[in-house]
Amino acid sequence: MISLRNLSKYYSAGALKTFVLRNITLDINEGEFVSIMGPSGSGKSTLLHILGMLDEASEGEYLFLDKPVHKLSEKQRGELHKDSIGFVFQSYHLIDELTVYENIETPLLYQSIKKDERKSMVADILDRFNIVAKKDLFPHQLSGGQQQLVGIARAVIARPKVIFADEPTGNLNSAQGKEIMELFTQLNKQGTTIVQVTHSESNAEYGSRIISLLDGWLKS
Amino acid sequence: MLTNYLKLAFRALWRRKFTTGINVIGLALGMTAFLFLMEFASFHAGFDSFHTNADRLFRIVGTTPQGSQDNVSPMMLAMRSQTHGIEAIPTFMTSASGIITYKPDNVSSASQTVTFKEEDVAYGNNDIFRAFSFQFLAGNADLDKPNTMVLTAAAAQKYFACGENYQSVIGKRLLVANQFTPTEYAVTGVMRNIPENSHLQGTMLFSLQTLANPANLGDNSWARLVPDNGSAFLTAYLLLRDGTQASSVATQMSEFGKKMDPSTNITWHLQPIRTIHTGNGFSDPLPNSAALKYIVIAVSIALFVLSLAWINYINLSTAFGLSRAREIGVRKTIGATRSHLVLPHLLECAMLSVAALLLAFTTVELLQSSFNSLLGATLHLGYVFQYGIGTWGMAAMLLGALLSGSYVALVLTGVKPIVVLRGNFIRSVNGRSVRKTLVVIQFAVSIAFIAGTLIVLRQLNFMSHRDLGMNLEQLLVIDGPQLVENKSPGGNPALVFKQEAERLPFVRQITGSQNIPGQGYNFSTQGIMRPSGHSDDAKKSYKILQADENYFSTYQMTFGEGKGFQKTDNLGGFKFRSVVLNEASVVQLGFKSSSEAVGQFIQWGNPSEKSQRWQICGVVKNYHHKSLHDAIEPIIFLPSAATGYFSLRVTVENVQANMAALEALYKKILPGNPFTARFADDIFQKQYENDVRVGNLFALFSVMAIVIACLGLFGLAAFAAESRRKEIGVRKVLGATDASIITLLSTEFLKLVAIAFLIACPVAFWLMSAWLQDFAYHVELRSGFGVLVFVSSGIIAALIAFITIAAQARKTAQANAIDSLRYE
Ligand SMILES: Nc1ncnc2c1ncn2[C@@H]1O[C@H](COP(=O)(O)OP(=O)(O)OP(=O)(O)O)[C@@H](O)[C@H]1O
Ligand SMILES: [Mg+2]
Repeated sequence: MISLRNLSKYYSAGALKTFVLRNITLDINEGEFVSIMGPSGSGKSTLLHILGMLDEASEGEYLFLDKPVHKLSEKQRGELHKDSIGFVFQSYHLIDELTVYENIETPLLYQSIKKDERKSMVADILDRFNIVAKKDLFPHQLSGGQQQLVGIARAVIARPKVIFADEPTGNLNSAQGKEIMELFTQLNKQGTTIVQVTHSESNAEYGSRIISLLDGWLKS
Repeated sequence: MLTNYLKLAFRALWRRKFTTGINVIGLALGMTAFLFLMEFASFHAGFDSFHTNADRLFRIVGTTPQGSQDNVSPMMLAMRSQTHGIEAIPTFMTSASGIITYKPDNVSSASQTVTFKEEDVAYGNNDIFRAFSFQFLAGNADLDKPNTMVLTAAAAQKYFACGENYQSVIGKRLLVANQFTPTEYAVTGVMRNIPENSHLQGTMLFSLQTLANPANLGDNSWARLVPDNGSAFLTAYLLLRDGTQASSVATQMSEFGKKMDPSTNITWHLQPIRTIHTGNGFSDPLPNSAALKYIVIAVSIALFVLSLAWINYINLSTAFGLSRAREIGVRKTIGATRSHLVLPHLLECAMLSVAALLLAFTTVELLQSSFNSLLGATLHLGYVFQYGIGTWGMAAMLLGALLSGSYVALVLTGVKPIVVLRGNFIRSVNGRSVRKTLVVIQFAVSIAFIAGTLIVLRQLNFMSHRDLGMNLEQLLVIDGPQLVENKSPGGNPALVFKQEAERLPFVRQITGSQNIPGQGYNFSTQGIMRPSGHSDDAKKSYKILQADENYFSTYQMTFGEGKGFQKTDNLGGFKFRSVVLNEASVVQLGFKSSSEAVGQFIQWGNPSEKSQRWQICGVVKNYHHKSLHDAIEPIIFLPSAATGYFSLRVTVENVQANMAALEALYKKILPGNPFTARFADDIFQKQYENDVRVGNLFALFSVMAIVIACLGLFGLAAFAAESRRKEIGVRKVLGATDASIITLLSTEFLKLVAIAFLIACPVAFWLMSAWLQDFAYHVELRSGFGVLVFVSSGIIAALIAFITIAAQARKTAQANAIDSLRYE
């Protein structure tokens, strides 16, 4: 499903190139549950952003469902975001103007799902994440952990083929974290590919494979 | 989906009350100015469009190699019988001013009579009402019968005080005394007042047919209404039948003209009536009011002001929109396509525009009367929607909304998600230089307008304080009588009035003249020269003014050399023993000095006739007979027992009572003549009416431009302060003072104002120099005054800009540093 060939990412300041990712070659199959680990600043988020097509690689090749990503038009990438990819941000990135309910509903709007169906899907998720009581609040009225939950709910609601999650449990207590991991496992069993970044060994254990990054190098 | 978008758009606007407010107010201001200007433009562009037959109506105009004329002769109009396709020939004739009197039948007392002097008395035929769309409130037109007339509602009220009961006016009679034999006319119809956007204006129309009777013509044989009369004194129009080619009718007319008079060099044209006011293009050879120029200027300013307002919108939205970039980035990652993102922005823009438009309409309604009095017009919003140009204007407004809305939407939705989501978007999103450019443009316009206003005001001030070379204060001007009985026993009653008036205690001095300063002369002529002059001198033009011997002393003019003439210097039959010149005449006649001129002779006409020689008895110092628009012209004053106007130097006290006394005297000695008295300085100032309006408009648009510019600047300053909160917080922790932070934030914007100043100066200098060219006497821009104007315009703009920015900067500077830092 995902296949990276000699992929590098660097930032150039003048003549100086700062490498964040170096020569990464990696394959992730459909239905896998992969955890990416590594110390702070090792390039985990950067890698995930590239995988999620939010950022572009500087060198190398990235094939998503056998299609070369760098050749996709913005529109095609938009389509993939809409139908195939769910993204959980390390810093949540909820939409400030929208309520919890509306934040979760938004991806469905873009998929032109009917109102009634939307309603039941959102109600379902709210229920599952135990945040029904918060549905009319705005993000700034929530705690960090609650925002995290909403961010995850938003990523999974449209049933994407693959979920990229950047430290999804970073702000959750261990019970909540466990629940999320179980949810991911369940989704994974139903066929969703999951790629998560995590600092926690125990969370990484939920996955079927662990990838380690160090200074931008892939360690295997 | 749409209701969802609408809800979101509304919420987004509501959350950003500050920017939304600035945007709505800025746009509303721009739209208000736009609507006012479009009213003006549409009013002029729609002239004469209200006639149902406007497409088939033409004015007959002739051109010769020398120029054009819009008069035709009865002889030319006889072509009707030989030309196909003519449905009607509406025909007018105007005579000079006349006295019109209404004497009620049943009351004999003279106090019941109503008398007015009418400047233009118009005659016409009944085809006028067949062709033009004038509506009747009572009765109808019957102008093909002699001694009939129609008048407008306004005239009916003026003469008959009939209120709304126009039917009561039908059958009443008015006596017209003018150059023709005094004649009575019966009212057959009362029509609605003629719309203001009609080139045909007037309040009364008398039947032309009346003058077909030679007895009514008096000694005006030129006005005989017979087919062999070749003198052109009629203004005629043609209503062509459907499908008739105007050009072919014009050709037939020219051929007919040649047939009647083989020596004629007149080519006839049919001028579409809608082009009479605007002109057909900028260099229409046919006579027209050239209003196209004003339409183009008004529309340009309108579009300009509107774009200023849209610039503001773009500026603010892209600046503050950066804070929305994160939202857009997030939406993109969850699958929003470009159209998903653009649509809500367009909706927001549409909602803003509608709100602004509603506000603008309200403002226009509220300020309409003030605007009208500034402009000396009666415009209303109806004009905008009535005629094509207004519709185009509204389309332009929509297009503006769409363009700026799309631009904003495209800029905002063009951001790359990762750039935004990484959090360092403020520096990387482009559009900063665009916004700066736009601010510079706005301030350049503002500065130019401020400079323009200052220059117009200074010029007005210059004109009202300039020494005119005479004294117009406490000088009363009474119109001389039109109706005088020549054979009255006490001599000419007008002169009797002058003598009697002089005896009134409050009258210090009185003079009679044929015309007055601030208004005009008797006539201008060529052919006056020194006996020793060259034949070329005969081509020089002089203004002639006939006045009595007290003219110079009453107006308190000073003599450079010699003295004024005596009553006895008028020898009768246009022969004069001595005349007075002004200094301009002395120069034009070729004298070296005034003293050389006094005692010398000048002549008019045949040099051999000694009797036509006039001796120069005095040279009056140049004074401004006309406004400062005109250079002082060479004037020759001829002694005359003139009674056209009486100018009286009066004492300051009891003006009301004195006026009443004068009126009583006037009515007693000159019965039947309306009494009109004005102050000489009012007459003179009236020449500047248009200039004052220009000044007012300039001031108005300066205020608008600067307010719009400041709204934009205010928003940008707020944004700059907001986006530098953290930096400012850190600086404060490190010990920066509030003042140093305000300076930090202001300098960047004041630099923009400085650039705007550099752009505005040459443009304003060039435009205002062109405007000042219209005045023969004007303030000099290449002088200390000019420097002062431009520098102070710059300072005013900079000051307003600084206050605007500092207000924002202060708020940020004084905010608690820790709050700013923790917020991040
Ligand atoms: N715009 C940029 N310019 C230069 N360097 C950058 C830029 N963005 C990120 N980096 C660098 O890339 C490296 C990797 O960052 P990344 O966010 O991927 O780390 P991470 O592994 O996710 O760390 P953490 O565990 O703290 O989230 C960092 O050293 C960071 O300084
Ligand atoms: Mg990270």
